[in-house]
Amino acid sequence: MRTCFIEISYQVRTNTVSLKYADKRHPCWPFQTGCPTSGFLNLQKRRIVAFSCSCQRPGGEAEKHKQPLRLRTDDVFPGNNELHAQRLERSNANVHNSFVSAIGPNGGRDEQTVAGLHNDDVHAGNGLPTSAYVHLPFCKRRCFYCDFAIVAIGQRNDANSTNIDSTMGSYVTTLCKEITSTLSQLPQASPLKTLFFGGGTPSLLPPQYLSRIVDTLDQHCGFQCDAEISMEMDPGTFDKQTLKQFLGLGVNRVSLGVQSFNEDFLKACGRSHGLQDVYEALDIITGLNVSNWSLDLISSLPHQTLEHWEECLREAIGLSPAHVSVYDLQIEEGTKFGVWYKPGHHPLPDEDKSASFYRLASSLLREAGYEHYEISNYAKPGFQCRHNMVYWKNQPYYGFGLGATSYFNGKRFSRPRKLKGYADFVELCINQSSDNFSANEEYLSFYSNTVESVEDRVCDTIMLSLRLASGLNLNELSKNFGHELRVHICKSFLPFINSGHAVAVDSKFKTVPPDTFSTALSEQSASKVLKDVIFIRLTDPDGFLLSNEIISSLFTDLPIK
Amino acid sequence: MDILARIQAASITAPCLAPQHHHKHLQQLCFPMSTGHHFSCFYMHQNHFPVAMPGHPCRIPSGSIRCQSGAVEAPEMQDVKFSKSMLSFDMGKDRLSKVPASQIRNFSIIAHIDHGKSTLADKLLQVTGTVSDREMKEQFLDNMDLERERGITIKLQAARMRYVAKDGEPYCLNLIDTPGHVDFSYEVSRSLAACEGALLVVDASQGVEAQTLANVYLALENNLEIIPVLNKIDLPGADPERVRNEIEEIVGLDCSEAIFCSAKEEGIGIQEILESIVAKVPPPKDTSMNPLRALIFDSYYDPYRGVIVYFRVVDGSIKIHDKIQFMASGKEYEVDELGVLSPGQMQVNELFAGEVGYLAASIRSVADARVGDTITSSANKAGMALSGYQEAVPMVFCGLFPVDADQFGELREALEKLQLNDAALKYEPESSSAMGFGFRCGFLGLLHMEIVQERLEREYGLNLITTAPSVVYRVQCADNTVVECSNPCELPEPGKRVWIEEPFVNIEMITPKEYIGTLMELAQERRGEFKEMKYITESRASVIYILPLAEMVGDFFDQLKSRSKGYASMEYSLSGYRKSDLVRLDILINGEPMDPLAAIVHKDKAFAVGRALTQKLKELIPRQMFKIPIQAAIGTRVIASESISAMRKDVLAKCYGGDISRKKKLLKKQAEGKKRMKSVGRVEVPQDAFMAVLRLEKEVV
Repeated sequence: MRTCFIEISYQVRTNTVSLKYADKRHPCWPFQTGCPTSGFLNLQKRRIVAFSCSCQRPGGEAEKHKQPLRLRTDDVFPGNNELHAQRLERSNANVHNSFVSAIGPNGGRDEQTVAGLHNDDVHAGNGLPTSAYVHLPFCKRRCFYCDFAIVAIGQRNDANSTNIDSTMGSYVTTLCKEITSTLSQLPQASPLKTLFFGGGTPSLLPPQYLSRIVDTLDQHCGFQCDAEISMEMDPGTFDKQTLKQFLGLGVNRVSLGVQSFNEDFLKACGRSHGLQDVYEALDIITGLNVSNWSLDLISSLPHQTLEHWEECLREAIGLSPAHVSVYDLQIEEGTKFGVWYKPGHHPLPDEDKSASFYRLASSLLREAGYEHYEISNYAKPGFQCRHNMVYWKNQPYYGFGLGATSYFNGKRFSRPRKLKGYADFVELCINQSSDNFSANEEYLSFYSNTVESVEDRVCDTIMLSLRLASGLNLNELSKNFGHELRVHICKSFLPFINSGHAVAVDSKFKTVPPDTFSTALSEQSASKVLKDVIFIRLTDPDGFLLSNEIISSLFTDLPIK
Repeated sequence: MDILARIQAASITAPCLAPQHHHKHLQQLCFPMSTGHHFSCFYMHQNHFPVAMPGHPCRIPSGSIRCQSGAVEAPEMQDVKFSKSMLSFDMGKDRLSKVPASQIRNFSIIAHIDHGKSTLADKLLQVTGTVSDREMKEQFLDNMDLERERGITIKLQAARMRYVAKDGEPYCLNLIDTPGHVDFSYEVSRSLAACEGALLVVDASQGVEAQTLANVYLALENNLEIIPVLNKIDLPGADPERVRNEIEEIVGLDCSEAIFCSAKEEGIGIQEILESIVAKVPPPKDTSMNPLRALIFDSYYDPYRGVIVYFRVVDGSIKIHDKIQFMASGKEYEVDELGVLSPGQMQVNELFAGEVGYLAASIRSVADARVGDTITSSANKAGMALSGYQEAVPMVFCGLFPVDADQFGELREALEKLQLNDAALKYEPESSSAMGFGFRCGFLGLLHMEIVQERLEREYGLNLITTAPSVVYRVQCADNTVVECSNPCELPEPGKRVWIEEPFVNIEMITPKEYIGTLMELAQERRGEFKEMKYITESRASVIYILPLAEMVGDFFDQLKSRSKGYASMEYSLSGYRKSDLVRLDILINGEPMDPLAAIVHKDKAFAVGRALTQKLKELIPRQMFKIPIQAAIGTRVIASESISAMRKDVLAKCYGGDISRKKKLLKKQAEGKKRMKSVGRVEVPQDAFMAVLRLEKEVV
């Protein structure tokens, strides 16, 4: 019995789960629409009574499924100890990798992503999150460009080790309290598909602390068996033993904050590591056979030239990571860079130059076989970051920890960015769950102004989906916000389609020529022709480079006040 | 003594109750109470002396003293020692009482800005008891906030004062205030026409200024008796002798009896001024038996009572409930309310030849009762209107557009309301692709334009964009017609026109000699044609130029002031139309003409203006998704050109930990910014770029 071939989504409203085959060998893969395999099952107290596939499609190994298929609850809900143990056992990297390849390294799902035909995307938006972001704020020092919610703890040494441990320990305790209080309030938390440890520098956290977090999550919502568990790691903050322990806890994706392959630039950014640390970290990662790892780079650094940048990109490509994130340096107020530099002025590259950095990254990485699947993210086929896709697809996610943001029940919420404020907030959460009335009021006021309006949801959908190579799904748009908006948005897109910054795509994934598109819009039969246009996406790199301009124009045109 | 003390005490509750000073006269008991009280003031027409009619008890607030007519004999003034303020208090209280025409003096004050006209007027009101010290607000006559702020008088008003002269006779003095700016010279001339005399107030340290001269000439045209007054003689820099000579030389006025005065604080020379008015200003002719003719010298719109008309009765008399006719507009009304200004409105039943007053007759718009029009009686019409009436002719035009297109309706309403009160303001709707809907407005001059703009923004809360001011051009067309045109966009095609004429002004600048050179330079730059220069004193000169009005409507005045460190003054008058070599300069953005920036300029200046404007636009228009050419063109010929290269990058890289709210905020802000932009074709031009270019245009055109 291979539980890993089944995807589960839980519907709060009907109190049912729907199961879908994630198995390529199933004849219904990858389009589950209308396939009775995704039929509902009754769920009683977390027990699946029975699951049967009545799919009658011929071919392949379909016959195999004609017989009713029985599953034990534990097979699909890895919440109990038995499966937990099983999962831990499997966390050995080798096993993990073979597991990934067994399902064709997420291949099926990723292709669907590009096509955008995930039917459950929309349902998931209304349902409970199956993704969580956990913020681990500790850093050795603050980088000069950084304005995130972090806590600088300095270089660990004998003198401060105890202090650091107690700071981290109490933070993790608070964090676990937040997780517990949030999840225990829900009638039925779904197992997580993705978990992302971001920071700060999560790799600074001793593995035993991470274990407490993973255990807490496991206890309250559990994980799906093919869950993606990412962790940000900085060179110079971990050794082989530590990484091994992280992997043992279920971490199966590593995002390495390299930022640059140039010693001078690393120093100029105030990074806590040198180039030597970078190569050592890479040795550790490859030594433990972690194949799903990502590399972060920053472009448009002070004094950076096109030659520097090309060197850096080629070095990155040579290391063959599964995923590359390329961030264009943003000068934020309140950072050292914000004091020292003015965007577009020397020694920062001007607009034209930093545009050429972007173009170069796009062309070199694509040449090297990476898909430019999101404005600043590139991945080898099958290695897109599933967690980040949740953000872009405007799906709900939990956020735990200092300064973390969450999105569920239609509300976006940012947690306090200071340790004290965060601890107070968690206290409120706990009081709220224990029905303390006055605290409850206060807690509600925390959330009250964050309910997303229709306008906000439209804006979110536009700005997030246009970051993806797949673009904006018009079918979903009209389903959620009405047909008129679809036509309206198509009209707003017209100048950008004409100028080559955006393209319309039909149901057969073919590009609709600008002429056809504009004629369609100007004619009476607009709605009929537009029906065929399923996606509008920005072009790479021209459209991506001007995405803000395009998105804000679309916002300006929105008919909603 | 007792009585006086009691009366003074009573005045706190009944400020209108006062005895006649001259015991020989009958007591007048009742004056108008505060607004809303029934008015009951009676007098005997025959001798113009007030008397309370028996059987008509006067309404006085309870608790105050009630005197029976004639029952109280006021003691002789000389017998009682009383303070100055008591004296003025007593004098002022009788200011509604009638005096024979021979004891009426109507006068105005001519002065340059800052030479102390308002302060002097205030002092006169105070000394005559017309306004008590307590009521005294500084510069009582200027009651619009804007006027107070700028220290200048825009709308004129009047004040009736009672003054018992040294000869022991009570005189009725009517001060008619005049606006102090050349834009309103017509209004000034009408208020001067309502007077028989004028005080010429000159700052004893500054001397005669251009504006003073212009108004003196207006006064002389109206045959006014002019009394020279040297003000601010107590200032350290005062040189009254020099200034006295200056007046004699420039104005040709005998200044041997010029009064030295200081209106501030103590009030030096105020009594002398009052005596001099009584002695020198001729009384009005007593023509009260003739058919009514009254000259309107001001009017304003009151939302409750309709237009309030300020007038001087020239012939005949006017009574409440009379049917009257405005001879120029032909409109007829019934007088609802009649009164005098002192300086607040106080109702009376009748006004006679020589008197100054106001009336309300439910008049809907000031256009029906324009300044300069003649009021006559419907029943007994005068044969001829008083001379000097003119329609207001706007000289300067500009486009007014709301920044927020939603405010168009509000702007229209505001203009309608302002026009009720300002017959000189003209407007008509205008629309442009770049600016949306707005109005093209005509003004008497630059100050008038600024005041209207400021009132629209301040009083009506509108946010406006104004185009560069322009003048009225006369275009001789090929088909032998003459087209008048003030909007550059409406200028006939070059092929259809033979020539263009533009209005010219005679401009007189009075300046200390060290600035003569720089001011001549300024006038030359503005296409000025030198006419004449003369030294008025050893150190000051008058320079006269003929200048196109279009060159003056920009920042000429500001330049004059800044280049002369504030010492020079100027005055101008329209001298007529002349042919000029003018062209229309268009500004094109991405090939689209930007109508509001089009300008009619002299051919020799077109290149420089075109270059300045295109460069400024290049600076201010942000990069867009495509390359944008910016051109200045005369017809199809491009004379200056710039271009903005296409935007290369506008992308937010990181969206960390799913924190999209910050990114969304940024994008929404960007979207908000776009909403504030005006689109010219496909190009989005930020509002402030527009404003900056329009400002620049005002300077360079």
